[in-house]
Amino acid sequence: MFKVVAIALNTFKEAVRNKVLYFLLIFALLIMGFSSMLSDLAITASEKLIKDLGLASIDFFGFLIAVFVGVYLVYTEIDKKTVYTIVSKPIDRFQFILGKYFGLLFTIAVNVAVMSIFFFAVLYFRDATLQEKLSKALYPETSPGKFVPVDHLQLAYYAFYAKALFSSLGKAVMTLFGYWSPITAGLLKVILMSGLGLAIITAFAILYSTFSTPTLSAVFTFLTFVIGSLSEDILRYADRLVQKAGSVAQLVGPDKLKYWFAVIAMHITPNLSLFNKRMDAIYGPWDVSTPTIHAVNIDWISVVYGITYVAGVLILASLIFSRRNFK
Amino acid sequence: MRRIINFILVLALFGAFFGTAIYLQHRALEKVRRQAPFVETWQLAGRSGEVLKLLSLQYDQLVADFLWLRAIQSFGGRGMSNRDWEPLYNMFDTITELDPYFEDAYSFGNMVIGDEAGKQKEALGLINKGMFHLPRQYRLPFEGMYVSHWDMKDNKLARWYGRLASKRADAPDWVPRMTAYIEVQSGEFYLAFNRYVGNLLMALESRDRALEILAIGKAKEAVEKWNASTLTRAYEQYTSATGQLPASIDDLTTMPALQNYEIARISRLIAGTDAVLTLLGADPISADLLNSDTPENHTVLPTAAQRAEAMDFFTKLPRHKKLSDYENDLFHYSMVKQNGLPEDPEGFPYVLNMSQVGNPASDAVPIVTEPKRLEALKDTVTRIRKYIIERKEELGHLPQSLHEAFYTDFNTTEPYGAKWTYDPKTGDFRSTSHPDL
Repeated sequence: MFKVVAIALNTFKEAVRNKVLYFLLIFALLIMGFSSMLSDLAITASEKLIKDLGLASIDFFGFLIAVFVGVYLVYTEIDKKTVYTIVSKPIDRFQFILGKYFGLLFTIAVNVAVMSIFFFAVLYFRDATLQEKLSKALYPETSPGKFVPVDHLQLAYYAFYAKALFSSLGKAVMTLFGYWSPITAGLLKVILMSGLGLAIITAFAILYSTFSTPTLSAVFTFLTFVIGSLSEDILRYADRLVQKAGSVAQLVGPDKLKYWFAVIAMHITPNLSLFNKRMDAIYGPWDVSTPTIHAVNIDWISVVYGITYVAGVLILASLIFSRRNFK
Repeated sequence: MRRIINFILVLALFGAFFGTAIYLQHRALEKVRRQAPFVETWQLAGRSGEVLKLLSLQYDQLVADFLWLRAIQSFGGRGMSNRDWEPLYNMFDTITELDPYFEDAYSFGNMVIGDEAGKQKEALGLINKGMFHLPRQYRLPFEGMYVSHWDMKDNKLARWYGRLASKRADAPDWVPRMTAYIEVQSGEFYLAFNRYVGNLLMALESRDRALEILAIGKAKEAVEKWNASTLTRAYEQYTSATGQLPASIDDLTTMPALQNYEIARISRLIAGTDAVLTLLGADPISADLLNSDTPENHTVLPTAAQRAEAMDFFTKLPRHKKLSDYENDLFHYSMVKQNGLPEDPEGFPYVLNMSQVGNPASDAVPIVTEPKRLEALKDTVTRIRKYIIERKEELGHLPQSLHEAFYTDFNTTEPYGAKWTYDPKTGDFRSTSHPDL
């Protein structure tokens, strides 16, 4: 266990030195910041737009980090021969793979946390700076129907925004640790489920990097992501083939081949749609206790599925890596 | 020194190239500025939604958002005409394929396609799609009701949307009221009255004065229109059966439309409601709610016998806790099967307005209540007197006859069937039925 943790920490330190990581992170944060500007164009659906863009950015940039950092991890060790110094020590090869995996996962988790804080801050800031709140702060109602501007209006204006900025950041950080607000309700659960999908993609990135070059690994991981996202469509495709033929037994020729290929593909490839709860955050059923909030329910079977799938892929990666000849 | 010169040279080269690039970009942007605000460069076609859903790799909501922004800009930038509604329709269709729960997209799409482009059928297609995906929200069927009522003038369709909207979980109180209004407009008086009975009971329970006035007014209006429809049918039956115009309202009472027909009576509704309120230990409907100075706010009041009958009827029924629980009972109690003229909700007798009887130029119902006939007479007398004064100023003297005043024969029939009198010496214009007016 200690060995795995040591490799994981080392992997994390190595990964945070990777400049690609920062570029991706900055890009994600820019997009999320941009979302609040874009939302002004959306007429009525501005909050939805910010949430959609924020959640999709976290998920997609998390995926890019998994690909661009993950595919180099094992390959670089072999390429630069640094793997010799590790395998010559009393460390099992599976421990090496696990260490690399958890190190990368931790890197992604930290990035997702940073993106989430920024995303929450954008939402809180938008809420804190609503026109009516600004008017109330700058033009308080001294007596019924009488609104008087505060002293030093310009200064108060900047102070209002500064206060909104700091309180938004504070609330955003606290949200990660359980602070509840109707503005961000359910979003953390969506991000956690996205994180589970990313854990699967990360496992695949590690798996591919145990036996191929970074470019090929990146292509394979990307294709896994594509197929995983289309898993339910593959099912529909197989069903349509059967519907056309009448039954599975009546399938002939290329259709039979396509059907079985689709069936095998949809069972082997990860079903990433199970971890996509973005729709629930915007349109989910109303929360029983707070009828104005959409409830996001974690599907625990999906969680178990995700964990077992990751374990399976990591075992496969360990098996391949244990038979790998470094010469 | 040489290194510095090299650095400056490289910097100058960079400045030259990058500066040129920026200048060219600036020119290109200026060119764009001169163009129309938005030029549609691509169009979405029939199955774009399905294809984009597949290609978006589960980021379909995000793709829908960007299309939404584009649709808003497209609409705002170039406006709308019948010619180019299709690209926008396809865009809204695609957006709602990608994000089927995007209520604003259906709503805005309906406004753009239905209201602005005048393609109401296509707009209703979007609404129908949204109603399927959002079965709990009232807003989309309500908008369907609006489009079919105001734009398409199809009250039957509007009624269908209205009924769906009223049943939705989040429908505010005014949606059933609006639906009841549509029921009246579409000739579904039975259903409209049913809904207004419910509204009245809700209003009485809430003890909200404004709602009470509105609810009683609407229930009366529904019955009034129902009566008018029945009487008009009897009038048409009479003219087609006899080939003559009726001389009096009593001529109509033997017509099939006024035989053994079902209709609502406001007096029974009031008697029944008061009986239930008494049984529940509450005050009866306040008297000033039912009657005020103006004839429009006058309501027919139940007789003592009617009140006793209602009390007897509701005492025998199983007891409920709330007034609104009696909605069904009160509705059925208010309905009667009868022969002859219906009861006017304001309590006035029905009469023939002779100026409308057999008048091909008028769409107005020839059967009205007595105060309305008197009002029509007063209105005609006032208008003609005013006109005579105007003609006097034009001619320099009083018109010598009504023919001179109107250039043609004055053939407006007096509402009571009486005669008009005109004195060319004094310019006095009167009706023989009401010479005191």
